[in-house]
Amino acid sequence: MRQVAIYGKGGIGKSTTTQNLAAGLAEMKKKIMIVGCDPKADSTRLVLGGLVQKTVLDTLRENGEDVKLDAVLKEGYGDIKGVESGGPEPGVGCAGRGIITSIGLLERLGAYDEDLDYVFYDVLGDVVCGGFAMPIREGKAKEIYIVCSGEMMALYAANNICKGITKYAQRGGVRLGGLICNSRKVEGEAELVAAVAKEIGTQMIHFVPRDKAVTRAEINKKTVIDYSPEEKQADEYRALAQKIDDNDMFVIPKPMKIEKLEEILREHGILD
Amino acid sequence: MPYHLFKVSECIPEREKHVVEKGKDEEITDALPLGYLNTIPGTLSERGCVYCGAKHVIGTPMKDVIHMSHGPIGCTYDTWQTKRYISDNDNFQIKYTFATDVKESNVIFGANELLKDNIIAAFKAFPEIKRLTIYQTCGTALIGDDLESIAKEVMDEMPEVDIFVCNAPGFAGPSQSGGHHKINIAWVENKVGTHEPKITSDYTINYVGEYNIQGDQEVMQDYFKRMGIQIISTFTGNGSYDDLRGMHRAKLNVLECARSAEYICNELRKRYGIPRMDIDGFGFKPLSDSLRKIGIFFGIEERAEAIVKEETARWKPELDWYKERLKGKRVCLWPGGSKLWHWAHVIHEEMGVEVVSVYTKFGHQGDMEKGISRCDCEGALAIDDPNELESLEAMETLKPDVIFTGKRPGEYAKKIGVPYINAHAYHNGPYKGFEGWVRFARDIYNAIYSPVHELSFVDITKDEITEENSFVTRRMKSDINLSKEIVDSTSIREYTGNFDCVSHLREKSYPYLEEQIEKHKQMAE
Repeated sequence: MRQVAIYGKGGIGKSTTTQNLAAGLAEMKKKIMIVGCDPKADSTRLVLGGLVQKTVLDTLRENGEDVKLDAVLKEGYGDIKGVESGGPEPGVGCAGRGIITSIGLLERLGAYDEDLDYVFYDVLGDVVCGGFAMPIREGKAKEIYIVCSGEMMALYAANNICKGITKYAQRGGVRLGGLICNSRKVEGEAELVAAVAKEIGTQMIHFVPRDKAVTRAEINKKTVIDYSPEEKQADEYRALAQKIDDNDMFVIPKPMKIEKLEEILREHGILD
Repeated sequence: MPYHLFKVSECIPEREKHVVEKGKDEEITDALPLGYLNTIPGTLSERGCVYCGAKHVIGTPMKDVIHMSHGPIGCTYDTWQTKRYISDNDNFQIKYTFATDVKESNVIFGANELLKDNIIAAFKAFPEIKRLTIYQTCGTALIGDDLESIAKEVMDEMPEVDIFVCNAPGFAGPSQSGGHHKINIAWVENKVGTHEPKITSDYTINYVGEYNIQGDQEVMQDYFKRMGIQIISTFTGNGSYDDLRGMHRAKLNVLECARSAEYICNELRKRYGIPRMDIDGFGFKPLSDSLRKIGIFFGIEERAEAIVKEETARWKPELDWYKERLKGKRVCLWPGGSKLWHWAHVIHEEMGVEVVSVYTKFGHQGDMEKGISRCDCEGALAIDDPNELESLEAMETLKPDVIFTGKRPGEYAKKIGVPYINAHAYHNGPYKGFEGWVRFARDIYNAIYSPVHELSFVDITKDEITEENSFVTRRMKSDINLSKEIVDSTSIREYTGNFDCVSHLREKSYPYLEEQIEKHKQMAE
């Protein structure tokens, strides 16, 4: 079982990328579970066709520890299992503690079936506190991909996330598998992201172009592979899936000083 | 070298600078133990947390208030009813304790609603109580529960109630002392000046840093009233919430425990120009001087003098009876903070005991400075934030006859046969006032000469029970080395007061005070 955590700046397309990638792997007959670690609970809607299950924490709030796995875990496209951690409304409580509690509960309920090939953790924005690092602690996810684009703030966030990973990598076994560029159609984007990846000591594992097909599929609560399997964009996700399945480059990242990052951005004409 | 490293702490060399031995002819400037620093890892400190300092020491003695901890249930239990700060309203504040009982899902989803529900439920359960204090704890502080807005919401919905928010979570400082500071400032910032007290005397004081342990406040209040002084508020023992909102109207702040309450006095001086006068209710001489000082401030010195004369005549012979029997007894003075210097000198002077060690768990260096300089015994050990093993080692080397401390060190002292007097909650207090000071002497006498400590080492399953280790009274032990003259003296006597020396004070009338009340009534008309 490969456990994979997906991080990246808020709004960069982590959930979209994760689910489309999972659909690609499902086509390859892989058994997959996606664990949404975002209080918004929107990490599984494309594979399940909307939010059909209760979140783990909602059931915990309503029924206490007496939670049935069936209530929170549903199967969708390509038999992908989806579960949402859920969490408090914005501005109250502790979403980080929610993730810790929720993953602990899933383990106790036996959600981590030995037959699974992949478990994906789709984690909210930055690693703001210890709770959001839960998926990469205690020997859970061993590989991480960061979704980014060629925009400055996305790369800045990616670099920051690497700092968090470094801390846990030195203690445990977690490694960075690469950057996934989810294109925003910035000029020279692929070169820039590849350059940043190289500096951090990793790779740009795939460049996902921007395509209206993604939005069309999303409106219909589906992944591209599910909604329009013949589209060119579907092949991009198949390629990403294949690359991740074949990936053998796992590193402890070397996050950059902010000055170095700015220098690279300047070289690529971003900071002019 | 004045610094001292306990054998048991050789593995924690940082501890050395927290212990000082008072050498011959040495000045306090030669060495002063470090104090009020973060606890050194590994020392098993006996300190409390900031929340405990705020709630348990200062907040909860307020008598007409629902004291609600916003956190897990354990925080509440550990600050409930273990300190005997009684009150004249049937001890509401120590009988009942309130908690929101925060659980995992409250942490995740926020506990604001839980808090609000609990506040309303508590007010409904006790409809005669209209005041409430919320105490923040670690967990709810971390998740950022908005106590102020919940308090405001409830006050908007229930106009007859008033709520005070004490934001002093356990982690917010090195020891309970941080909590004293926080609640002092929060009170003056949020509540002082929001209520106008009725002035009924020319002489008005706030009695600050007094917690009414077993009636201390009521004993001292008796003296003030006899002088015609109106006590606007007491911070906080037997104190009323609304009276304390009117602190800004007093002419003088009379400060007892400077460690826990000097902050509010200093703020009241800054904000309202009220002078601060440090006094001392323990010991005949310090108390007499304190009453005189207050008398001088208001120009009614002769009233203080009359009280001193009357009380001394009544109680001095009883104090001296104990002094004859306590002379030369070795005492470890190990209280929390201010009793270090309130007691160090006066127990030597008035009871004849030798203070062989002073320590403080949460005192600052200033407390140590005063404590050490008032400690007359050469070679005395001054210890900051000691741990259990160090205390045991100190007791083994210093061989005290009794220790004055809290219940944690007190309990393990018993195990090695050293009696202890509870310096925080007392044994048979009150200890303030002239009579109280005699009660303290009596408790010390009872502790030192109790036959139980020797009897406890007799194993009745196998030891032979002989004359020497069976029947014995305290008098048999204490009088054995006294001269016949002292034993038979009629000018000194054992304590003759009542078991309850406080309740009768609540019925007393005060001519000087009534005169003032009448005068102010006419002024108002």
